[in-house]
Amino acid sequence: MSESRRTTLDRAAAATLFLTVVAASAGSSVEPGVVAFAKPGRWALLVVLGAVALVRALAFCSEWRLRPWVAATLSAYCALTIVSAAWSIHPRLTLERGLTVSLGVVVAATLAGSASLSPVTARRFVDALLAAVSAVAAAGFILWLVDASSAVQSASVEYPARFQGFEQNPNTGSMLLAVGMPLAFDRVITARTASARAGFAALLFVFVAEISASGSRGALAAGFLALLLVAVAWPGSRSRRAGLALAVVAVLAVASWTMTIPHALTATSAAPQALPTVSPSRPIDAEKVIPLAGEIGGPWWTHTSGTLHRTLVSSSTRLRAWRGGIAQGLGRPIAGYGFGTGESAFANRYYGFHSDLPENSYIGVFLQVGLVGLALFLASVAVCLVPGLRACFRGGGEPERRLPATIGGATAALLLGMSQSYFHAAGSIAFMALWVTLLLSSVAGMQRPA
Amino acid sequence: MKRPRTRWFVTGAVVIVVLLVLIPVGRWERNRHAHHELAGIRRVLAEIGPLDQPSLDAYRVGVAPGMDCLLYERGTNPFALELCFDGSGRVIEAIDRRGSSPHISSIREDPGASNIRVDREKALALIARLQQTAK
Repeated sequence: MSESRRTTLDRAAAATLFLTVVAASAGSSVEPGVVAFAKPGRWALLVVLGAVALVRALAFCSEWRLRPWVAATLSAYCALTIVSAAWSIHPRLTLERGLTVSLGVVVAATLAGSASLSPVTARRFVDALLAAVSAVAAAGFILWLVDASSAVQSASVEYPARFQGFEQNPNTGSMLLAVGMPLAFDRVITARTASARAGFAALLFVFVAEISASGSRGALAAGFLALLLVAVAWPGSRSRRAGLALAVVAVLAVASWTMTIPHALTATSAAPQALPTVSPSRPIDAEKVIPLAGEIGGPWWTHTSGTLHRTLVSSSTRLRAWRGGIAQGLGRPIAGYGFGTGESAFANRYYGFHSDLPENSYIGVFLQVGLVGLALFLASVAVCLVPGLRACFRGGGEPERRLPATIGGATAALLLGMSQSYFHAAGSIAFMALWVTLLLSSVAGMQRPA
Repeated sequence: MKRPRTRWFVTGAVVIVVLLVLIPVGRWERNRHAHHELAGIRRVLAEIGPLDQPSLDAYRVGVAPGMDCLLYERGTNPFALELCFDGSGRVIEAIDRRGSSPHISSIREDPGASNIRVDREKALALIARLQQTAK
């Protein structure tokens, strides 16, 4: 009776987690009708997920566990996000974002606590995430079949045509796909039948193919580094792990090469731009010559044509923006500008950089809640990851078999933070995946009381 | 049994105290940053002198919500000095381009912290005149 109740509640929580992640992705969909429905819906689903997670936790409260240090650091970080409204440049926005992020973290912690002594429960939650990623990948593919112009961002002089699937931006869907890669890979390795293995391998192939087609370099790197971690952490023989790692590197090479095939449009004029001539009778609209949003690194300063040649490894544009974000953060280094104020605190002045955020979540956290906030965030991540890594490399046997997937997912989500700004936004596509995988890692190796 | 509980109680208390201490620290940082940026804006304003002068040779309109700018020539550089103000006439950004890279002083993220003002009507009239001449 108790077991069937547990199964029912687990499935309810897993199904709601699936819907929450899908709703978050729909909230940034390329289809305006879907966005109008999903944007409020994702918050409602997060609340429902919290309620279901709470019911699951209370129904088996004697089995609910969370490590004290995990609870302490996360509580401190969440409290800081809310308290930072006291010095924020937008107190209301800070309060809203602090509360929603805290809600997301608390919901993930409530779910993870229920899985602390139940590997089956943990596996169900991980599978719910994998199912959500698969649904988003499938939606993107179907949209491409039905309306390719919506699913593909047209080529420009800066970028080749990029697959964006169901999302508004090629980088958005790829974030979730990158988190899904280690989850699918783990299923490939641990599948008990050849047909299941083939099915999960096909799923992994779709994830990799869509990321490659999106041209999202950060997602590709994050996904494959996470795969390497899964290969290394997998509890198999050393030679098999080495073989898996080599296979991962080989597929990465192919996927990277595939990413270089499409080309941006050729710039019609590559002539260096001359400094505008000064004429007292002809005043200048400066925005046409030296736009504020692209001044730094722009042609007016560099005396070049301004044509950007993006390659697989070029990073100068983003590095400029990161340096600018750090410099802005150093203006208020201890406590920052207030949680969730990244769009206001970071002014995009960087040529070829198309975002209102620094596109690095760690710089974003520093900008918003200063060094104190960044230290608390990193401490929270560390106390979550360490138990998982320890249990993984110690070898936990069958009950801990889910760990490589969990740690791989968390690693991918954390690596994505190097190229995307999303830690501050609970409605972001990868937010719940980050915290659920991290917190599932944090409950690894917990024992039933004797 | 009591020790761990006491330890966690102390840890919680320390966290609360640190968060409370951060409130004045965050506000102090906010004021210090605003003071620093406003000092930079004042320097550029002093370099420019009166808004209406022959070296005024460029403008921007609505580059950020409600933000307009006036640019002044120095030497051969038509964009050497720039002053941006918001819809209330608060000066929120100034840029000095006389070096090898722009020197930006900005309080754009927190315009309410600016206590430097220009006569917005006069500034808009200057922009209108420049736009008219540019046609």
